[in-house]
Amino acid sequence: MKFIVAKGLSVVLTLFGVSLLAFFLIRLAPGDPVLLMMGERGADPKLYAALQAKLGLDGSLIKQYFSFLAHALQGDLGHSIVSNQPVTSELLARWPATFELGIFSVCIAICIGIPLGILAAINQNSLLDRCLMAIALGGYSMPVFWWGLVMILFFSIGLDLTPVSGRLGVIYDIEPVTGFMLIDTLLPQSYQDYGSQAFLDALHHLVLPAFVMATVPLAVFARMTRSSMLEVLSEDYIRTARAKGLSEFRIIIVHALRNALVPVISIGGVMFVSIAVSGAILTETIFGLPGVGSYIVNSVYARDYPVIQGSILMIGIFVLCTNLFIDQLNQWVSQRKSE
Amino acid sequence: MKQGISILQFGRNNVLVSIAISFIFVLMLLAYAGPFMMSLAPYETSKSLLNSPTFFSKHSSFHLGTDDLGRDIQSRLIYGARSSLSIGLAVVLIALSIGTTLGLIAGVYGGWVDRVIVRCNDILMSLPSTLLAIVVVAVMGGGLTNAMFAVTIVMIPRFIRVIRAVAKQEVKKQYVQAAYTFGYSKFRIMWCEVLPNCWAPMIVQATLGLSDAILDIAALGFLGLGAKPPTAEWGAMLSDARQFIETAPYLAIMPGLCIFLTVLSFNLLGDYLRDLLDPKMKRK
Repeated sequence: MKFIVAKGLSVVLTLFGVSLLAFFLIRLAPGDPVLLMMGERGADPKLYAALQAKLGLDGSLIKQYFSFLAHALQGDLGHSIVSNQPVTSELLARWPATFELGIFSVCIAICIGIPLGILAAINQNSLLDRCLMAIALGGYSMPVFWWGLVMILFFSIGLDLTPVSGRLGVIYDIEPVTGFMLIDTLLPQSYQDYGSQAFLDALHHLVLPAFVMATVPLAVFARMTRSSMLEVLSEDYIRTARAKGLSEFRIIIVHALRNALVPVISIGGVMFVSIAVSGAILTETIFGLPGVGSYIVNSVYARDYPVIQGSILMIGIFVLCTNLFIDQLNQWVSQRKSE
Repeated sequence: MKQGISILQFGRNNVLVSIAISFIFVLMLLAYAGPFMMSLAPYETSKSLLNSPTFFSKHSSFHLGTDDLGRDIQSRLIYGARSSLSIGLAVVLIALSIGTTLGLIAGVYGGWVDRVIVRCNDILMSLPSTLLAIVVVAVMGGGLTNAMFAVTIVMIPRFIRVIRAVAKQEVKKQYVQAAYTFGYSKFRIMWCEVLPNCWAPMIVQATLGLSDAILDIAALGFLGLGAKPPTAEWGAMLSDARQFIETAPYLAIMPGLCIFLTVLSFNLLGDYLRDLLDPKMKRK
């Protein structure tokens, strides 16, 4: 409990810093956002002042910051310059697409990466180990934006197996309820109209982007599992287990893996979040998915500063909360270990 | 003679690392000496638009083909290597010097200075690197110089973290305690005593950082936030190639392959150096 409070305080302090960064970084941008909105021909001073007040851009910088913070705490991140919609609702509308992609690629990365790492560790220094680790390093060095193009070239254009972009074929008209396409297509109303076809089509659209996004984390998981597993396998209690005559399978899966996964969860988890957000930005841009990543990139093109500011804050919160959760998970796992 | 044998032995024991080192060497040679050795025209347009590479069609006079404006891909790739390597090196050197200085100050001085630096570092690290780089470019405007600045900022925190951790350990050792008893100032201890013992992690991090810098610059170029159009840069070339991906796939494959192989080579070298220099790994 004490741990949570101390950690929580530290997170709040860091969050405060992230809000400062989000606020003042955007203020460094050249140009006046109010003039930008009013057009290039110059503005009526009265209208100018009114708009300035409406955007919360009047008064001193410090006053502006606290008004930004007060609004942000109430979930109000301002309005987009481009669409004039609240930034919060725009971000929340795009969140599920990114989350769906992220969850799917975590599963791929864990389900393939960790077994590969174990396999390499068991056969240490063999040809298999070397090949696996060379491939893993290749995956780790992969430029996601190029890998996505190569995959599209191979699977979508060459073999015609998967769609090139988007979340769902145009023939399906699905009402967004949760925003998660895989869930929405299974909801009773949509299911009545299209049966399982829409769901399969959504899955079909998701596989390739998720795999592309999973490539780098997969390699990270494989490398970390291998080194962590090697460390554990050289410990005394594994030798004891061998001496007891336990089967090799039982030793590795039951005794070694549980302890080997602790550092993989803590370091790999934290790394994953950061890699995944970077990956999401590039993957969504390549595959034309309407998620948070492509939204940020488009806002950067349009110089939509309120959106950029809001996105930094929101992603900062997300990353910090995930890290806190991973810390907690780890605490729990290692506590169980010591009991 | 003896030297020759040891290089051969090294090559036999570390096949991949030797290939990586050779690749980096050839790339540097091409990038910096290439323009003097052969005629390269990365910005000259010709009439042969979207020409396939020679090994696909014998009629082509361009080894690696031409792009949609008839520019020679080979020349553009070599100039791209030049900009990628130069920018990567510059970014890493600047980030390394700033990161090392701040890391040493945090590690040696400790106390509230340490806490402030660590806190600021945590804030920067809580934002994923690509996002932070994109935002910095969004604020400052596109272009290669600004992209370079953005990637430098993104790169600093990791150097601070590593150097601070090493400095913290070194400060506890006897030679530093001895230096204190001589009455040396903290400033002198920081630069003359602790810094020389940080060189191993500095080299490892710099090599690994180089691959990340090249990757990040290319990613920004791909998103259209780095190098501006006529500039021959790998990421920007890749983004131009996207619209011709069905008609001229080689346009998209080659710049990406260059990025991939370069990043992979620096990662291989970095991994090797870490195994060689990191005492924790050596014990294993």
